[in-house]
Amino acid sequence: MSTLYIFGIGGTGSRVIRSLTMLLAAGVELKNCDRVVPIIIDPDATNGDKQRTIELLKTYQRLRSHIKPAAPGSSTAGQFFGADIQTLASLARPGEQRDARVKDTFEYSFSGMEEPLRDYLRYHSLPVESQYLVDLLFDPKSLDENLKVGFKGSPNVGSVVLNQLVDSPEFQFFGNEFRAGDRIFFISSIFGGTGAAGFPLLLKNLRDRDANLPHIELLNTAPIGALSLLPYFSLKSEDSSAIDSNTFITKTKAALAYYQHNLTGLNAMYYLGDQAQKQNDNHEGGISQQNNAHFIEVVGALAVLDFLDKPASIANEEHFYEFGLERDESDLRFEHFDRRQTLPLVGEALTRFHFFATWLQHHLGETMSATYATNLGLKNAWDRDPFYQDLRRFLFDYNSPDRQFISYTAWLRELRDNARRFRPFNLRDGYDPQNHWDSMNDLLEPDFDKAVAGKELKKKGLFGKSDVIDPQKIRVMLDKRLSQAVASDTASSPATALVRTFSEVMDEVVSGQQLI
Amino acid sequence: MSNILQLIDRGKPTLRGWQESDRITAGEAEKMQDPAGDNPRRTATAIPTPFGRMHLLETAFKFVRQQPQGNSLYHRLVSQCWDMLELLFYNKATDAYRLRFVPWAKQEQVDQLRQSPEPRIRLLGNTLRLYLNDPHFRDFDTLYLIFADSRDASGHETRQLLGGTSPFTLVFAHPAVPRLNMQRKGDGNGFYFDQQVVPLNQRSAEFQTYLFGLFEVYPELRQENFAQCIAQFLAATDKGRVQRLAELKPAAAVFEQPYEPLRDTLGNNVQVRGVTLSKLAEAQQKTSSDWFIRFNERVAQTGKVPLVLMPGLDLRRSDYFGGTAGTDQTVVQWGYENQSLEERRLETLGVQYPFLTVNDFLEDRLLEVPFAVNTERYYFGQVQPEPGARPEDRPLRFLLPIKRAWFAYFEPADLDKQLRLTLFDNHVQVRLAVPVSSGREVVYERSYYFRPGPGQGADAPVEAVRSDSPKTPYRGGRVSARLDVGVFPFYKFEGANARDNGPYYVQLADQNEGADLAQLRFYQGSQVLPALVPGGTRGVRTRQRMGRNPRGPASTYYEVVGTHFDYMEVSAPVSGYSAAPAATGLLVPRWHTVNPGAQRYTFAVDFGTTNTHVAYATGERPEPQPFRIANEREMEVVMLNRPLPANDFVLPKRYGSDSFGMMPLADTLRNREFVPAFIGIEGAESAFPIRTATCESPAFISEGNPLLFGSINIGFYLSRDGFLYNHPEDGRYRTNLKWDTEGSERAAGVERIRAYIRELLLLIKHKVALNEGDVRATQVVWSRPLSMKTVARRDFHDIWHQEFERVFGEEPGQRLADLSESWAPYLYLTDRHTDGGIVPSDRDNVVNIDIGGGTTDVLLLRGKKPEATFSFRFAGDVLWGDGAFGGARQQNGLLYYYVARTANKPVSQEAAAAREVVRAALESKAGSADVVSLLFNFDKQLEFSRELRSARQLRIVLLLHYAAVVYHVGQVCQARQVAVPRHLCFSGKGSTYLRMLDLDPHLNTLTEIGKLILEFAAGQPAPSDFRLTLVGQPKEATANGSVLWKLAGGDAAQAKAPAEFVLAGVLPADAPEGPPRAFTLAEAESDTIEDEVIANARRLVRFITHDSPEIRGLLDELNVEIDPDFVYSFLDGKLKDSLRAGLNSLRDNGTNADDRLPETLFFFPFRDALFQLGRELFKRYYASQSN
Repeated sequence: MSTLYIFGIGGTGSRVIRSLTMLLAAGVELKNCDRVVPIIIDPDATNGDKQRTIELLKTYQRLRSHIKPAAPGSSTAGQFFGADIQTLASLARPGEQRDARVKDTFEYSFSGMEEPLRDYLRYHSLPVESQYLVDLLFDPKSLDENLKVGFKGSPNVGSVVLNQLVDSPEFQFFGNEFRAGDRIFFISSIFGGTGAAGFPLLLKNLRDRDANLPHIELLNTAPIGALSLLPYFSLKSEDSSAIDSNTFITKTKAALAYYQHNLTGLNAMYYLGDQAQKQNDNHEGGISQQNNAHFIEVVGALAVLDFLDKPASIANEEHFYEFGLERDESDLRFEHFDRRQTLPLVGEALTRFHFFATWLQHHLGETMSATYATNLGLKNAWDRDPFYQDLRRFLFDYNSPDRQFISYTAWLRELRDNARRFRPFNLRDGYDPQNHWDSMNDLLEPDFDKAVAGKELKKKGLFGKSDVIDPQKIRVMLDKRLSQAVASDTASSPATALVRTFSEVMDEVVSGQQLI
Repeated sequence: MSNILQLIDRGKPTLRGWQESDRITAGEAEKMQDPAGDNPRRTATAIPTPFGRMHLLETAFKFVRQQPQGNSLYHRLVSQCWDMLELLFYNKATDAYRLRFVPWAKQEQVDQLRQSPEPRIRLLGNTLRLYLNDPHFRDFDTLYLIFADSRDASGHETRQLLGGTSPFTLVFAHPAVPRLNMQRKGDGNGFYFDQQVVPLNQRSAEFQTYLFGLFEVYPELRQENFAQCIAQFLAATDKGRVQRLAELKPAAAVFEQPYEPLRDTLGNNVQVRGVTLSKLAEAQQKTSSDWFIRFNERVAQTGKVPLVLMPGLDLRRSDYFGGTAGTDQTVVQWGYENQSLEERRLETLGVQYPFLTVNDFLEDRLLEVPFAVNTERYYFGQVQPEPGARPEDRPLRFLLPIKRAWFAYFEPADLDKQLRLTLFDNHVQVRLAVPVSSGREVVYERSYYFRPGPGQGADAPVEAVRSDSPKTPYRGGRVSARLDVGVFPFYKFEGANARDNGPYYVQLADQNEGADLAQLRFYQGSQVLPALVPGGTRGVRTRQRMGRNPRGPASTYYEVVGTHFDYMEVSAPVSGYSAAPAATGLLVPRWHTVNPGAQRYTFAVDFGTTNTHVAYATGERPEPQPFRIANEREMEVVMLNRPLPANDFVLPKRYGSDSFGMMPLADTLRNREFVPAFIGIEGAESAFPIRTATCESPAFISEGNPLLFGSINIGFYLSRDGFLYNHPEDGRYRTNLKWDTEGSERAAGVERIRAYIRELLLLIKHKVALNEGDVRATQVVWSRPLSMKTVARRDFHDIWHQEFERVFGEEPGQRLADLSESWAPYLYLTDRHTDGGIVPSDRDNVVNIDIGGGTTDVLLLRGKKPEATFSFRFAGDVLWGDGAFGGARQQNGLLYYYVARTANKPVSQEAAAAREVVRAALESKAGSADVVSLLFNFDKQLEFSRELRSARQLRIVLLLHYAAVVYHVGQVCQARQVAVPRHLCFSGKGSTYLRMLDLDPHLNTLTEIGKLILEFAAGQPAPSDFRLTLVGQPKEATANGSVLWKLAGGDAAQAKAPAEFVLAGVLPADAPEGPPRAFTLAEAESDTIEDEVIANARRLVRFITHDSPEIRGLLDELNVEIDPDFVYSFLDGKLKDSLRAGLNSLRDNGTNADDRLPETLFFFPFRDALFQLGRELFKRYYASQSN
């Protein structure tokens, strides 16, 4: 039972994990890994990106808790919500006494974030020489501003504050749970504050023989990969903001130079960046820092999958990776992914999942009385059962609180509207942020033939009016498969049945066409 | 954009999906295009380590190496690093910012943090430890914190943390390092840490040499994990230099020679991973500047040569200091009153180096004096009226507003080149052009406004309007100072002759209001002359003579001994503002520089009881002349006030009271207490011979250690100074000095004579010097009275010798001689250069009778050989005084007569002033002799002689005086068995009455009478060609004779007076047996002797009044009318008392009973009796006529 620990550091970490979560929901296969433990490290407690990702992870986790795990030995590959995503706390083995301070959450809970760095460091209690050293190492603004909103793009501040993690019960617990065969992956940006600092810091600690951690010898030798995101968006410049995208490149260069000589013990380094296309609103953090999902984050999520694909022997090696598209265009579709590796990995899975969502969005209503629906008791359960509520939330932001739009649909919409634009599926125009839900309801293209961008299917029949992918046929398949599923595993929950059935049916639908 | 999701094109377009690539190196990263143009505005600390700032700077170096041009964050960071290294390199202990290096020992500090009970502090320790494992920090044991300590004007100490050492770039700066108020070295490239980009190649060559050398000598610096970024930068900047150095392979010891290690607070070298950081040794630091003062090379400089700066001076594009140009922010203040030159720091450079600014040389306020100043004799630079105005409308009435600091660099004569005063209606513009090393001049300029505001008195101070901005003018003010200064003498010697300089006497007349007096200080160069200590040879003595008084200026005198002085600093209390600091100004005499010539001068001083004469002659002009100060060149005292214009007045008038402007009484003060401007020329207040008198301060007697002028001086002004008679609190004239050394007031008397002689000798010395004679060859002869007692004579001798040595600076040797008063007139009479007309011959006997005020000296010659000399105290005073033996004053009959006759007589305007003096003298109860002396002095105006011609009943007194003298001479001839002389000669001031007695210019009647008396006394006939000679200028004869004697070689035989002969004065024996014997005082006091003396006196009186019909027949010729019986009987009744009183006075004056009589007793009966007779005759004949 090997585990992948993903440290998602800073806002970038959260955003990549969001995309990763979408891929996992779609059933993208994780190699060499049985479960994923995301640990989001972001001292900015109210960061919008982080909150959304955690909410997403929690929703995923709840959804998955309704789904019966696959029998040992059998793969869940291809199955929606197939990957096991767990909180760190949940790793506690039966009977194991867990430190009460280790909360059952995806995020590491920072302390002292209400203070300015000066107080955080207990500056006035420091030996005077070290006070002066602190003065030299940190600029006065960094020292005197509240840490709450992150590190203001100051990795040197982060490198100290984030180090509290290592002594924390959570990290001790992590070390304690760590087993041979487990892997570690860091997601961070190189140009920000938190991520840029946290990644090298944690890496150094993990590779430090003298680090005060359980299983340090395992940690010292575990395969560690990292995605270091180079700039891929720019911020609208505001003079008053500490985060100034004008410094992104500067910082990137500096960090890259630092990594070259000072970052040792990393087995797989994933470089990813893009020429800035779009200016995002500049927020120094907090709830308003909620950035639209970006294609790069999807690619970043793919790096995690790629790392898992590497053999365990990578632990003794040092590799560097870069990502290439088929073509350099600003409007990307599946066809821009390479056909050899990436497209097979994500194309069909996402399309299956997309059809799943499309069905539930546009076709469930008219088939509520169909056999499959009746078998699942959807008529009653759809609005009331927690599983369905979570599912609908995951897919359509059903019942999502204001601005916490975690859904797959929202994700697609954001990818489409960002730059580079990633539009694997055709969405209807006219998203209105002021009227999110209504807009969302209408966003997915109901016509399966027209769903996959660039791969729209030509209608058949006379006058071109017959669907190639015929919902009637899908309904038939659903009816049939669900009955089989219920029959074969009576112990399964309706949720398990639904997920498995749809996974199989959509696999059939998709693989039957030249969609990818 | 690229199909590779990457920010840089790494040349791998074929990658698809996640595919293996390779590490992005720092080099590649640097090529990353930044859409923001690599110009981030904020310091980015992107490197994820607590030491990110150090890394960042390393990154910056790499970046700037590739893009040398620019103003990006990186460029600024690099420039900041250069700033730090350069600051360290040039730092000196004396800089405005004193650098301090405090070690932060890695192991120790980290351990300390990690052992803290406070988790957060442990966290910091742990984190630092983690990152200090990074490769750069290996062997980096100590990080030095770099502090700059500075102190502001108020003394407040500021400590600024500037940065620290770094294993990446040697040093790095504090993230918010403050701009230092200290300029970078070099071409005015701004200030340290001012965020400007100053590339290395625009920095000082010295600094570059150090840096390049350091990286060559310490190869480890070039390693990747050390300061490789700088090494690469240097190679990129100047590859040639790096290569040359590599070939040269300088030894570390050679390289380090000009440097010295920086040391931390514990004294250890400041090292970065074993490489010591150094600074340029102070001795190596350049002190170049375009602004060094170009001082006069004759003015020795000891310390550093200061710069000449000022507000508004453009220091850009010049070598401000040490090769660095100033900036437009280099603002020099008007003044740095609280800092000495040495303490000052060059503005914006922060380097401690002396510099001057306007207030160092220019005063805040002008001192205004109440008259136009003498711009010829004092330095005032170039003085000009404002354009369009005439010089006479804009007189200069100010002292120099230059501060003495200027003299640390220049000589007085430089003022002519540097200083220009332009006089406007309401202000004076002062421009002082100070030359500097670049060949330029820095012009210090200030306008002094001198008109008080409306409603204020004319003397109200005008305050300076200070400025603290170069853009705002700094206006000078003005303080009224009613004072004048006189300097005596007004010349100096130079070179080897400078030893003959001084003493100088300076008079300060102060007529300000307020309690405090102005003061002078004297300077040579910038050195103040100290107060003279007892036994000292160089310094200043000061004596206040007159205090504040409503009658005239206060006076203070200064004696500058052992040196000349270059200038005086006048400090004047601000009137009515006693708390305010005194205002100061300078006075710089334009000394007449004297070049000693070869001309030898011989002076003779006849220091008489009543009058004193000084005569001189030179080899070129052997005729004796009276001492005079006759022209402007010879002026010995020069006042500050300007003389009246030439051509309009006679010289003394030009320098008289009208030239003192609003302070005319300073003229009186000069004449009374100091030295007259002119002597002996038309219009001068005095001429030799002068009345023998001192003028003394009331404190003279009591204060002791008198200062010439400060306490006492020659009373030149006596005959004009009527005022003083009635204001003894302002001083008094003291006469009868000569005999003051006898009796109880001996000490004071000696001091008076000493002062008198000192002043005379000074006048003599200065006259010689000013006429470019040979001061060192000047000879002085003083004449010595015979009748003076041995003690008194020794006093005189000592005084003359001591004062000569004091004034002329060496022992007198042959240059000072003394000659008997009896000889001197004879020598004059017989000199072929004079009009004496007596040709010595072996056949003719000659007698010269020199009648002074107190004594009569007689020289009797047998042929050319001196037969006898004798002296007696029977002279002018007997006629004009108030009796021989004290008593009431102003009892003299002749004086009474004159006063009674003229009291209500109208006099001419010219005479009125003279009469005022006489009236004052009378009112002050001055003695008759003093009043008469005044009358003789003003004889022309007041006609004393003329009035006495008509005093028929009184003139018998004059005749008896004459008769007594001649009778005694005749008796001496008889006693010495000398034939009656052919020549009966008279000299001495006292002899002038003979002309009053005989109105005939040839004195025929007196000749005849003299002949009769001589024959009667000697008992033998006179030569048929008997002649009476009265010297034309009788007073001058002695001095003139002395001069001639000295000029002729100073015959020692003559100097040594002939044996003194004292004839007792008793009745002559019919046939004398052998030489007459000498009596002791005890013998003289015997009744027998007394009787014989009285009898002898009576014999003469009887001869005149009754027995000589020839004489009686001649009386009318002399306008003498007598009642013979009355005269005879009156005198007869007084002779004995007179004799007794005389004998008593001998005793009183210290003659012991056993002592030989110092003089004949013959005159004792007459000395008081004649006075009594005069008084009685006045009463008898004239008293009723007067009111």
